[in-house]
Amino acid sequence: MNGSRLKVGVYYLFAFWLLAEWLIPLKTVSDTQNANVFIVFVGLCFLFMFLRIRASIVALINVSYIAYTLNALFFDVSFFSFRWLPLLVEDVINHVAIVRQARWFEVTNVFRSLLFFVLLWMMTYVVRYWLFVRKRLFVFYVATVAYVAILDTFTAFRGNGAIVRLVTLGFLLLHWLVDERIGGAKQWKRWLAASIGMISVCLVVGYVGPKLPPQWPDPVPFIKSYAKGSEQGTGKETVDGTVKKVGYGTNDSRLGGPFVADDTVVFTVEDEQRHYWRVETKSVYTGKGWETADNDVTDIFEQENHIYYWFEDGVEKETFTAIIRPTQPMYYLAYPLGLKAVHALEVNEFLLQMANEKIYPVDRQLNTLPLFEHEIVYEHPIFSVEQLNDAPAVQNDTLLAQYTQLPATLPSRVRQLAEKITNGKQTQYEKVKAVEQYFRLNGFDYETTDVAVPGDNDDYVDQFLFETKKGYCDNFSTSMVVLLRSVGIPARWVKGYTAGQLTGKTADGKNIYTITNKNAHSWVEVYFSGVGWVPFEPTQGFANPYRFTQPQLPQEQQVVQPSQSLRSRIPVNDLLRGEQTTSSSWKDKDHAIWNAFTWKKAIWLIFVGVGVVFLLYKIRRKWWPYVTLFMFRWKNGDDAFVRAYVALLKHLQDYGLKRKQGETLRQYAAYVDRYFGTTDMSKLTYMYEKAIYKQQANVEWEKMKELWENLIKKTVP
Amino acid sequence: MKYEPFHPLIATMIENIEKVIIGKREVTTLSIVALLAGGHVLLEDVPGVGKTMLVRALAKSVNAQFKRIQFTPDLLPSDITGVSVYNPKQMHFEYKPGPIMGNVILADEINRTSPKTQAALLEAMEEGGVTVDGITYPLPQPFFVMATQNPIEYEGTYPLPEAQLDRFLLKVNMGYPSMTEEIEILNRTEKTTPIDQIQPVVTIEQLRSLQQQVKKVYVDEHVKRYIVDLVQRSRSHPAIYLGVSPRGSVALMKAAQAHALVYGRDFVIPDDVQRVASFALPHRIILKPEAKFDGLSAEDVIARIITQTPVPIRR
Repeated sequence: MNGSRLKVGVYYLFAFWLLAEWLIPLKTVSDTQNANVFIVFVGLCFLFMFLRIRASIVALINVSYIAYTLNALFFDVSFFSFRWLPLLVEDVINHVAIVRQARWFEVTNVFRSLLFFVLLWMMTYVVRYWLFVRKRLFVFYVATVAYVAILDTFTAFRGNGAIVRLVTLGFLLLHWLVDERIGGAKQWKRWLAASIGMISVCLVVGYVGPKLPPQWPDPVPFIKSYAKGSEQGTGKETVDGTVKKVGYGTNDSRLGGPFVADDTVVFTVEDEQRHYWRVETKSVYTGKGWETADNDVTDIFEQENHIYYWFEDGVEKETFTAIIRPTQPMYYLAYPLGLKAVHALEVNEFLLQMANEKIYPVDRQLNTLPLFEHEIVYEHPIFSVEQLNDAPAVQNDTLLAQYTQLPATLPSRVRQLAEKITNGKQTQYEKVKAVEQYFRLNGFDYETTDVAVPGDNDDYVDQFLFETKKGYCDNFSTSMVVLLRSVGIPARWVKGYTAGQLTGKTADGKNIYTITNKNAHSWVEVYFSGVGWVPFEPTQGFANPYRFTQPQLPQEQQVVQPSQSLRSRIPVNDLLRGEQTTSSSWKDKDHAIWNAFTWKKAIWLIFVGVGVVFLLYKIRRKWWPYVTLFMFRWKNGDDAFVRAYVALLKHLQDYGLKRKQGETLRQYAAYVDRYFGTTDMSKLTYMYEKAIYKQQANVEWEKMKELWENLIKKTVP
Repeated sequence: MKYEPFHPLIATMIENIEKVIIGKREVTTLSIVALLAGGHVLLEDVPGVGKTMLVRALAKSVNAQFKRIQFTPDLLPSDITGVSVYNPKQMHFEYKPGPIMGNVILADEINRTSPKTQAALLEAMEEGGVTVDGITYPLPQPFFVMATQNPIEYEGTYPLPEAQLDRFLLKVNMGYPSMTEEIEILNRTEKTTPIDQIQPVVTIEQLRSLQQQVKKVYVDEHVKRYIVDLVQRSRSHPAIYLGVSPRGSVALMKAAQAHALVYGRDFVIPDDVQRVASFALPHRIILKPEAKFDGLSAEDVIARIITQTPVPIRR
């Protein structure tokens, strides 16, 4: 076996290794139990390639191997009885229809494994092509590293070993391939030694060196929660599968991190009144997020809600009817405060979970049902500030115990802050308003991307109130609840949707609102004796849609922020219907915008911009000729030709065909033509000479365009 | 210029001449350039490489009157221009034209004669006429002088002064033929004398018309600028003591025009200029002694200037 044969063998070994790195994690991350059979298969393929066995024999052996493995794994009958064969054939035939109709869930493991074998078989050929024909493996290598890194980050698979192996192997392989491409350096042994030395040094330094903790907020929990939201497709949790809340799902036990706005429409509504849409409430704050109270009590109502009364009798109410049209069937109810009745075609019973006030449409066996278009009757409350101010302190002990719960780990400075804010306020309502106002005036910013995740020793609320002061509704609402609870006011955290965007009017004058995923929201409800749960809105840029009447001083109603966020664009007219906008809030908004453009961000932007420009400049030879082609595609006339020719000269120079200072165009054209083996450049040049040395006006640019285009295309490396 | 075809008339001329002169297409072409531009050529080379043969072939091709003057130290100006001889019968002096009264003149070994005689020839070349006894006799048109000069022998020679050298439009070196070319020469001369078989292919009228066409060849502003750029660089070049004169610029442009016409073009391109510059400029400059000591020739310096001068490639 000579040297080159040995080299080829090592290549195949490395190729096998690279592909195996894709298969090894399968055991951990998927339900593939027998990844080894696939690894062996890949090994076999490469071995046959190395031994240069005839394709027909290889095919026979491989097919036998696949058949044997499939039989051993799935059919469990004697291989040589061949009774598995009709089963396999039948399975394959069945799958023709399944694949054609894209019923992917029905694909059996047998067929999946078969396809996987075929895929691997093809991959071995592709890898061989990259290695021996293209002699380029960088893209595949990067993909492998990315694959391992992603699996390491998001799954139980630990890629420590794999990364080390990949760095060693990959760089060696890349080095060798480069060496091959440039035709083999004479001193390849020295080069190899240098390369191995470098890789070893990197590995040792990387292994021994200290490792910094992550320097930026970990994006993983957010992406994970996003993935979870979309994963929940089966079982009882279907209930929230369709909510797919961006930035937070049903699981609010760990809040924080950035979120991405999502425009998917959840439902549209015909309604006369703006209000929030509740989905559920949560009452147990853990220091990191929210948990539902440990309470299994449920109740069922048929259409008319006779089991849950939202307000005491003294509250002024107006009754409205809304028609809700979900884009996807909903497995829970999004309902307004004061829900009286739900009318749906297919569903009669509704199950109310007391612990979180979540309502599911169910059948008689209590299985959740999909909810399509339905009608909701509700009593919209109008709160009297007078009445709220007069409300006596809450006496109900069970209610107080549940809704003033706080974790023992809550830092004391939160309580001190709560006391400071409410100091001097007489009534519960005044205290609540003081806390609500606190977020408007003390340098808090609405922010969706640069939002911190509390570390192990941090409290979510504490971090927001004292350190970051940047966040979205979850930060604001949770903090308000915790502050209120710190001074003994019963409060809870409500999740759902804002009123959405006004998108039209019906014939009979009702408003049509569209509620999308980005309208997902959380806010605060506070219990007032003699009134009930009253919603409050601490989040910057959001307006409380509920009315609070103040007969004496109607102008000085609560301060309302105009909508500045992406999440609820309330038309100004609509907004003014219930509340007033003050000028100070506009100032706050300007302030927020100003804050958003800090010098740090500006420098980053410039940095990124310069980077992009530099990159574009670096790869200009790949794209600039096409821009030129496009620019002159429809340009005609003498002038266009001259400019096109000059552009061609530039591209040729860029390509590396330099024209010397004293070289005439003909000499240069001859040089270019010699290089490309054409006569196009000379022909073009003869015409160009006429244009510039003779000032001849009508050159036959139309006829020459094709030559010109060919040459321009040749300058793309 | 490799791929560019000649002007059809000139192509036949070159073809005709090449029946006699083998492998000297460049010299042939340049001679025709000078002929068309109305200039004269100084051929500098050792004897026996075909200078005379070239001139004779050229003269025969254009059906022109061919004269040859062999310059010797004792040649007098009147031996060139002609003399007035007293005609006793008619009782007055009668002008007997000298050998200069022809269309194509071969002035052989021009550096062998005295400066006085050289001056007579050069004056006639410049002015297009000779003056004998106060009467000016115009020279026939076209009038084309090909002077030869032997660079090897210095004994008993009178080198042409620089100021007079630039009366020649081009100075061309003939050079030896290559091996195969020389064998071909032997083959052709083995049994016949090829020069006798040459037939005229262009009439004098056609030649005159070609000369008129040269003047109409368009020279773009950029090309003129290029010509002047080349010439001016020769004036400031560190190796050059005396640069090209404005007469040199004119000569360069005219030669370039003729060169363009030879290749059938009615406009001048920088390639024409570059090509003729190597023959139109070197004899118009004087190198500094130190440059000569460095082994530089005037041709080298001009070639350098050409490579250093940017060619106009845009409007």
